[in-house]
Order: sequence, then C-alpha cells, then structure tokens
Amino acid sequence: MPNLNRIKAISEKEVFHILRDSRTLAIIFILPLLQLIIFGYAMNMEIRQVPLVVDDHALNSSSRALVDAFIQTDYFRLVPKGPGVLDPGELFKQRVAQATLSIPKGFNQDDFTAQLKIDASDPNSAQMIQSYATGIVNTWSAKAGVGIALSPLILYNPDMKSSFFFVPGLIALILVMICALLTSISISREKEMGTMEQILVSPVTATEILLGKVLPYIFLGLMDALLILAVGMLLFQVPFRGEFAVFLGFTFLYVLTSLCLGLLVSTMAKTQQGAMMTALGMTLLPTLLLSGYMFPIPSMPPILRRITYIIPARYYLQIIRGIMLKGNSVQHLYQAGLSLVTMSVVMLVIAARRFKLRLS
Amino acid sequence: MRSLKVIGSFIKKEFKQIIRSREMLIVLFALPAIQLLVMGFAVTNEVKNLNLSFLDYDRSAHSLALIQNFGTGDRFRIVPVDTAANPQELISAWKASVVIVIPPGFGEDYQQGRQSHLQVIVDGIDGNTASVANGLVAGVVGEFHQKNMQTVMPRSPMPRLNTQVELLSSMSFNPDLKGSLNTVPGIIAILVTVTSMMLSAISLVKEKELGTLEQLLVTPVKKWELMAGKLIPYLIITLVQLQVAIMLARIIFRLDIAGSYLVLLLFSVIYLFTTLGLGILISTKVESQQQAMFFSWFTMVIIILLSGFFVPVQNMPRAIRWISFLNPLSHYMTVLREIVIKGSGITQLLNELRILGGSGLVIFGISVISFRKRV
Repeated sequence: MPNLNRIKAISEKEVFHILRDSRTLAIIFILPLLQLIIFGYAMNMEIRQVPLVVDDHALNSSSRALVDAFIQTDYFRLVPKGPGVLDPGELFKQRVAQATLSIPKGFNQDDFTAQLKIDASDPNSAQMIQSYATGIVNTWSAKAGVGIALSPLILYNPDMKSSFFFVPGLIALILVMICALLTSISISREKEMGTMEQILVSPVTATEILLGKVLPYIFLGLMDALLILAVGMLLFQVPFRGEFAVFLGFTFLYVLTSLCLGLLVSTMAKTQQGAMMTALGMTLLPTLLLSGYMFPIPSMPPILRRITYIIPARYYLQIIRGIMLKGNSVQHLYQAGLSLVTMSVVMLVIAARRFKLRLS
Repeated sequence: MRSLKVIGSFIKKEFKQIIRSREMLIVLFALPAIQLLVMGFAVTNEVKNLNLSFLDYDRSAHSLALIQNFGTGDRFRIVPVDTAANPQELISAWKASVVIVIPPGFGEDYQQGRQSHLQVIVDGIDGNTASVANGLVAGVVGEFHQKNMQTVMPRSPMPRLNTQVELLSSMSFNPDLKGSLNTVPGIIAILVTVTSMMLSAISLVKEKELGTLEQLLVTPVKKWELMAGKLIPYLIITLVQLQVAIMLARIIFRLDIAGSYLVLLLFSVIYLFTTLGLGILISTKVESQQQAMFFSWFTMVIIILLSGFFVPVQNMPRAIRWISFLNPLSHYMTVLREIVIKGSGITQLLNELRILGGSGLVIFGISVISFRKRV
C-alpha cells in the first residue's frame, strides 16, 4: 500500500526541481503559445494572389474576358509583362511570376486554346494553381449556362481556419512532451547523479517513487493543455462541440499512455543527454511528423503509414479533434481508445521487465 | 604567425574530441540520413489518398464517367458506400473526408447542355486539406468538362458560345511534380542550421561546465583566437555534413543540383556566419548545457516554422511575412531551392546575397561583442 505522505514528499521535491529551472518552465509555457499563434495565423496552405503574367496575342473581347475571369478572383494577381518575348523560365527564375498565361492570335475564331505555364518548383502550389485555373475556366462556362456548377459545403469549419486543426493538435503534442519527455529526463537525472540508489535504499518503495515523480508532471501537463484550450477558444474561437467529460476521460487515458512511454524511454538511457536524445527520437519527433499533427497520414508512403499505428498521438488526435470539432461521442471513438489502452499495457510490461533487469 | 599556430592547435584538439566521441560521427552521418528519409517522405503538403464517397442518385453514363475520373491518380481513394447513407454521418464517423452527391437528372442535364449541379461536402477539421480538396474536386470536374465538351456541346440546342476555353497547362522545372524536389533542399537547409547552431551553442558552455574555460583563459591565448579555434572546426563539420546530405539526396531521391555547386557553397559559408553567431550568442547567455539545448531548440522551432519549409511564405499574412523577411533561414532556403531546382545563379539571387551577408555581419558582430564581455 503506497504511503501518501511519502508520495507527497517526493512530489514536493520534484516541484522544487521544476520551479527552480525557471527558464525551462517559461519555455514549456511560451513555446506552445507561440506555436499556437504561428499556426493559427501563418500556416495557410491556401494560395492567394498568385502573380500571373499574361501574354495576350489575340487582344480581342474574348481574350480580355478570359483574362478578366482570372484576375477578378482572389486567386490571381496580374503582373505587368515587360517588353520583348515572354520567357516563362526566366520569369520564374527571377520570381516575378508563378504562372504565365499565353493566348494565341487565333483565339476566338475557331480555336479556344490557351496556354498556362506554372512554376512547379513547389509541386503542391503548382497543382493548386492548376486546379484554380481549371476551376475558373469551368465556372466561366457554367455562368454561360453550360458546364457543371459545384456547390461546396464545408462541414465543422466553414472558413477552413487552420487554427481549428492545430489547437487540438498542440494539446496532444504538449501532453506527450511533458508527460513523456520531461518525466523520462527527470528519472534518468536521478540515475545519473546516483540519487536514485539513495532513494531506493530508503524505506520508499519503487511505486511511491514513480507516483511521486509523475504526479507533478501530470499536473503541469494538464495545466498547459487547459491553457492552450482556453487561448484557442478565446483567441481563435475554436469550438468545443463534444462533451467535456468524454474529453477528460480520454485525455486521462492518453496521459497514462504518455507516461508509460516516458518510463520506457527512461529505462533505455543511462545519462540525461542520452535520455534527451532518446526521448526526442521516440516521443517528440514521431509525434510532430508521423501522428497527423501537421501532415496528413494518408499522404505518406505505405511504410511510414504503417509506423503511424504505433504512435499514441495518432489515436489521441482523432479523439480530441473528433470531440472538439465534430462533437463525436464515445461510440465513434472507442476503437481509438482501445488502441491507447493496448499500447499502454504493452509499454508498461516492457518497461517493468527492463527496470527489473537493471536493478538486479 | 603565432595566432595561426594557436588556432591550428585548437582545430586539432576539437577534431580529436569529435572523432573520439562516437556521438559526433552519428550526428554527422546518421542524422542527415534519418532526417532525409523520414522528413523527405513524411513532410508533404500534398493531399493524397483522400477518402472520397459518392452518393450517386443519377446512375447515368455521365455520372459513372465522372466517378471514374476521380478514380485515376492517387489524389482520391474512393470508398464505396450505400446511397442511403447520410453524407454528414459518413464524415462524422471518419469514414470519408469528401462526399460528392450526384443528384438525379445530372447526366440528362449535362447531356442537354443545361447547367448541372453537384453537391460537394468536405470535412473541414483540417482547413488546409479541406481547401486543397475543394480545389482538387473543382479541378477534376473542370477536366471532366473539358474532356467532354466537344462531344456534348454540339448536341445542345444553344449556339456554341465562345466560353468553351480549352486550357493547356504545363509545369516548368518539375514536370513530374516530384514533392522531394521541393522538400529536400529545405531539409538540407534545416540540417545545416541545426548542426551549426547546436554545436556552437554547446561549445562554450561545455568548457564552462567542465571548468576548462578558466584554464584556457589563464593561458596566453587571445579571445579571438579562442573563438576562431572553436568556430572554424564547426564550419568545416557543417560543410562536410552539407556534402554528405547532398550525396544522400542524390542516392535516395535522385536529386541533382541544376545550378552551380560553387554558388551553393558560397551562400552556405555566408549563411553559416549567422547561425554560428546565433549559437555563440546563446552560449554566452546560458548557464548549463541543458539550457543551451533548450534555448537553441526553441529558437530553431520558431525560425523553421516561419522559414517557408512547411508553407510558402507568400501564403502567410502580411505581418508574419515581415517577420519571415528577417528570418535568415527563410532566405537560405530560397537560395538552396532556386539553385537546386531552377539552376539560378548569383544574378538572380542578388537580393538574398545582400540580406544574408548583412545578417551575417550583424549577428556575428553582436556575438563577438557578447563573447568579449562574457569571457
């Protein structure tokens, strides 16, 4: 039976550790907020005002109407063409234009072909520019009564704001950063300094040490997560459509999984520096790159896609985005929750085995 | 002469230390490989394999042809569903990201040259994916229309309008639209930044922590000799790593530099003054190695996010574009991309040359002053 007083004593000691290193503490709180602001305002995939150079050889009403159709949208911005022959390659190299539209002399008689050249050094932007252009031409036809009219409906986030996506994501990232990264570093610090052995020979049991060490970080992580949630909701009007109780339940589960991960990492490293590197490699980077936090999982090659299945944040991201944005309830999310439970159990078993091995 | 000798012995000592610790060799060779592999494949703004469902109430030849148009390429992955399904429920349950509803009579209207309608429902939780998906759907429908208008329109009762424009588009510099062409130079730029900054940020603190800095200071070594002796090895290491990364990029991604290698090297050396300076600056301000790591990590996260690596800078709001303008990594990344992809020379990159040169002078200058004060 763990003794509450001892746990409290160890927790207090850990709190002092955290508070004394005020710069690290400041980073823990400021970095996510800065990221939130950058992501909320700056991470915009949508391209607007693509600089376009038009080379119009026809100069008749049809060609002008076509150019107008391009310019009237917010997507393209007309850049005046310099004298001489149009050389798209040179224009792209000097970065004055990202696309060129050239209309041949015979436009409007029987040939309605226009040439669009796009700077494809950023293939994603290039493809979007192409989609815009095809869309514009199609809409132009649709207005005249032919063609296909599209009526898009964007669910959950009609303005397509990136902050809706990143606020829940940041919560997942912060929880893993604090619960796995900081915990593993703090455990290996004791090991490196030799104080772990001193604590072990005292009447405190291993469970009490772990609980005592872990509790302050759980508290810190949850505080940070709630701060992000509050700022996200106040500053960016991110909705919270689901039930708060469901959110808390799943978040608690995720915190447990992160702690198991942190424990596993700490059994692998001997020094603080080693723990930091291992923890970065096993917690932060996979969560950043492979969880769907920033980059959509379906776009990854099959091997990486398979790796994402063993990253806890992948499941939690689905859960938290589902609850906050889609208003999902437990019946939509129990599968993701079960994956988290399975992962925690597996990691805990491995960590416990390795821990025993090291002590003996 | 004496200074050269002193610096030379410093360089020798640093290299010995580096070769002795295996970690450094890992940083030099394994890190670029892992970063290129993982980031090169994972970091993509492309939207691929989007789960798309059709609720086809029309079931005409045209609706089937339209669905087939979406099936080609790796943009969409068609998830078959029952037409009785509710589109919103499909998205809410994570089964589909896009649902297209084809109303009855769609094919008929289209065949007759009347305006036909499609309803597109997109999962908006990821705003970026949603807007890309929206554009992609419009693109595919537009293509479908371009393909079919010759066969459909003549039968329409309307006179042929001069609105049926055919758009031929072509992609310059990257006709196959390879994503790696854009991300790999970006990864290399980040790699150069991370290595040079981390190395120089830890350098002085380490000597401070071990107490060897005081020993050095009582020797007749001058401060600038100490600084040069520390920085020159880091400069060389980073350039070697740049070389390794370029080689790996050639092997893994078959990426060749279109432009001049010498220009690339020149820009890299100029840029390294800024990052090494930043590292020294951090090193003079912190107390421990751990803090140095945290601080350089913090700085790097911010400059990488605003560098245009993930999202083109021109997509950002004006205020943030100004901040990005002050971000040296953003300019260095542009330089690498332009040289590697387009083969641009110095004439096209004069602006970047001025900015990077200026920032190198300013930041390195400040770091020298801070170093002299601190040591």
